[in-house]
Amino acid sequence: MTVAQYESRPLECFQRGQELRQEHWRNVMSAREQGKLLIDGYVLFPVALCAGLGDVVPFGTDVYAANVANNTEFSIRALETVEARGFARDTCGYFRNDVGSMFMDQYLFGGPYPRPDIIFTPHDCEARGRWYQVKAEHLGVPIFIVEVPLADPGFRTQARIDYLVAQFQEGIQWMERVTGRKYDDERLLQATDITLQSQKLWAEICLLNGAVPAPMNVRSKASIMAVPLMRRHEPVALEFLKTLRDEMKYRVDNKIAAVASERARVMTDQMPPWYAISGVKYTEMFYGAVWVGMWTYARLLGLFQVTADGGLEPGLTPQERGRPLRTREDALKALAELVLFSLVDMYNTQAKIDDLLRFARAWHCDGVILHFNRSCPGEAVGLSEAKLALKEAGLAVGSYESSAQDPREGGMTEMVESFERIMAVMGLQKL
Amino acid sequence: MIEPFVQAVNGRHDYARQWKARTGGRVVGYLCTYVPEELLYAAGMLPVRVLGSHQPQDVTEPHIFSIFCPFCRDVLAQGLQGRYSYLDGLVKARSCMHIRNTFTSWQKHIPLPFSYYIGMPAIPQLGAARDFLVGELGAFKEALEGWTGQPITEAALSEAVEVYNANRCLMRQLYQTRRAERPPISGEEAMYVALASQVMDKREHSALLSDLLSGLDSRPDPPQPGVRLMLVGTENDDADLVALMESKGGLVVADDHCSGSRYFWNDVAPDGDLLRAIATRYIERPRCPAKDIPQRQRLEHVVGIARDYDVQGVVLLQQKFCEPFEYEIPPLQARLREEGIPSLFLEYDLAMNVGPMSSRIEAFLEMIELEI
Ligand code: SF4
Ligand code: SF4
Repeated sequence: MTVAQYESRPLECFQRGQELRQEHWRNVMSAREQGKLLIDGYVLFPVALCAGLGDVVPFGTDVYAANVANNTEFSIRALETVEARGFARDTCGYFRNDVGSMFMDQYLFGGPYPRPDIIFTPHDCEARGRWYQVKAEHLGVPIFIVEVPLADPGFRTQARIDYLVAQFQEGIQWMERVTGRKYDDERLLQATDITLQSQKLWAEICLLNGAVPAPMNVRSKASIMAVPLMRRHEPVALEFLKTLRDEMKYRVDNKIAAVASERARVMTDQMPPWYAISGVKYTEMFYGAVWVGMWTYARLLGLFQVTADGGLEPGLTPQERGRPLRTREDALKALAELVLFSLVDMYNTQAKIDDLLRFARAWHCDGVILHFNRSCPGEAVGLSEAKLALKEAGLAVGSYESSAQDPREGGMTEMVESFERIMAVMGLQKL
Repeated sequence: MIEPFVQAVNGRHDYARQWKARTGGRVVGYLCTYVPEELLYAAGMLPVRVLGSHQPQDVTEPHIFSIFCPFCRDVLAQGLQGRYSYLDGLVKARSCMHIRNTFTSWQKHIPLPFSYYIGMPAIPQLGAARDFLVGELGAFKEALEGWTGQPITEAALSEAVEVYNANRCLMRQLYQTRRAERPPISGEEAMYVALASQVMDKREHSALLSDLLSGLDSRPDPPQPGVRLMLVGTENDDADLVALMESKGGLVVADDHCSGSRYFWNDVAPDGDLLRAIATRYIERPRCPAKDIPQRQRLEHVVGIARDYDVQGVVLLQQKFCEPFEYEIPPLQARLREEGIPSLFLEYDLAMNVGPMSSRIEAFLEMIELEI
């Protein structure tokens, strides 16, 4: 079989993404010296909500936990520390890596574990609220938890938006009380606007990967997405995302591929474990099967909307829909909508199935590889049903199990074997 | 004395079928005790809790990932195996995502005329939670009315609240008897009475319970005294496990389970707006481990019961993989240690035989006996 050979080269803005990421970890360490507030909480919850307090640095906790998991020696110590305190080995792997680092009072990037000023986080999966409760108790930090009101899509949407807005209002009063700072609505409005623009850009970037050949693969995306994840309320992230979007467009127009030998395309629901990254590379090198997208991080971070024919396009911001952001309420409503249309669907089986199918189409995928991650019960909700439904829809579907945030559970060989099986289901022979 | 309750639990499917034939009413299953049964009852329905079957099964593997708790898999298995074929509807209130998997798979594969998910607040401590729940209850009421084509009148709702409060009051009276130095009822028996209330028409259950209460004092065969135990956890309907503890020299005198004391701990206090009063009851109910954030309010609740019932040892009973409870176990054990109350952590799978836990239970009881 003849295999197309595309021009391929690394993303030019890749290095800038790495710099911004490293700068973020330094900002976390030096937040206090810089007179900024360090905010702990779920990285996908809009930190713009805290921006009314002044300059804030989000801890970037989930990304931090993933970094810990990627450092085998540090991670094993962190996991054992948590387990020695009585927490079960099957609790959330991100929780165990982050909280283990906290109990050891060691920051992965050097020095003691940074003490946040406040914890402001949602409760979506079962682990989330409990995770930050443990941190608040250990560090003696004030905590506010917002409930993400789960429901079927479209069910009592307005009531759920109102509920989120009411909680945000309650949270703002709480923030003023515990920090002694006056909340500045102008800063909230500005950070909300940047967040919306960043998330819309991320949607554009994700959808540009529908082009053949794909201009970016999952490995590059995983390294770069730390910027929009942790800093999407900052002008510097917006600027970076614009550069990335423009470069993606250029690559699409000029058929510059992430993988020169692309001949098949797969997507995954969530990040493969770091120790499987070489397995991902293996399918790309030996089968020309490019990993073009990760559903969770597209869905959670991107502002999308469904088109009349069931496709996907970057969503309109409230301003674009004729709702200018002028008041605190306007901003809170916009942020509530962001939360509702991303986090809620994560935990809804049918919404997950519908959305996986939409992304599989948008990315022109030949196959879907589902990751049954024992370290994350949250993302595993509805996944077995999704596997059945995607098969029924005629897609080649494969799956593998891992414990992605626990390096003691390795299993690279089994994983590569699973990938091999999936390649066979897709009818691919080695190049 | 206890036999009718045991029969109601063990013969719950027959009971529900007969109730249906007798009354012509609809039977609605529910998957979490945060479901406001009062509304179903006011609509003339029989709410029945889907309890564990405690039997091994091999039908849920394609539907629910194995890291989810055995209870949620057992419940789905019973649905898939057709054991609940008599249900007209299924209702779930937000509790944990494990059982939500069950609910959505049930909806997908076992079609029912009616199924409904209530957004019971995950954080009842929040100021905004009550108003939100009032709205959710209003929507649920409308959905029921739409299904039956009949309004749920204020009078019917008020009556349902009375029936439920009366049953809760009787259940609390029964539990109070267990504070005595020589409780007149064993833990296993009390569990059957509590479980029966979750699968029977409340009026019928209350009638049986009133009879039981009036005869308890003169009971000729009260249980043997033993090490006074309390069970703490999420859902527990494993009477065999309680019987095992009691056969080894323990006597279960109290619990904090949603299938036990949390189910009837507090009443609806009618104050004009009945939906708001019902919402208040569920918001203020002793928390389930899935809802005890950001402040931990459960620890003092558990310690309070342990003190009131003169508990000598607490058994923390965790369904394997039960996340809500897993995050609570270390602080709860620490708090009990502070109180000088020994605790035993048991992780278990409700579909497995309880026998292998025997030696750990025995050792725990012996350790307490040595200290007394
Ligand atoms: S979604 Fe998964 S990784 Fe994240 S907090 Fe929940 S269980 Fe942990
Ligand atoms: S609370 Fe625990 S036992 Fe109950 S369904 Fe959820 S995970 Fe299972």
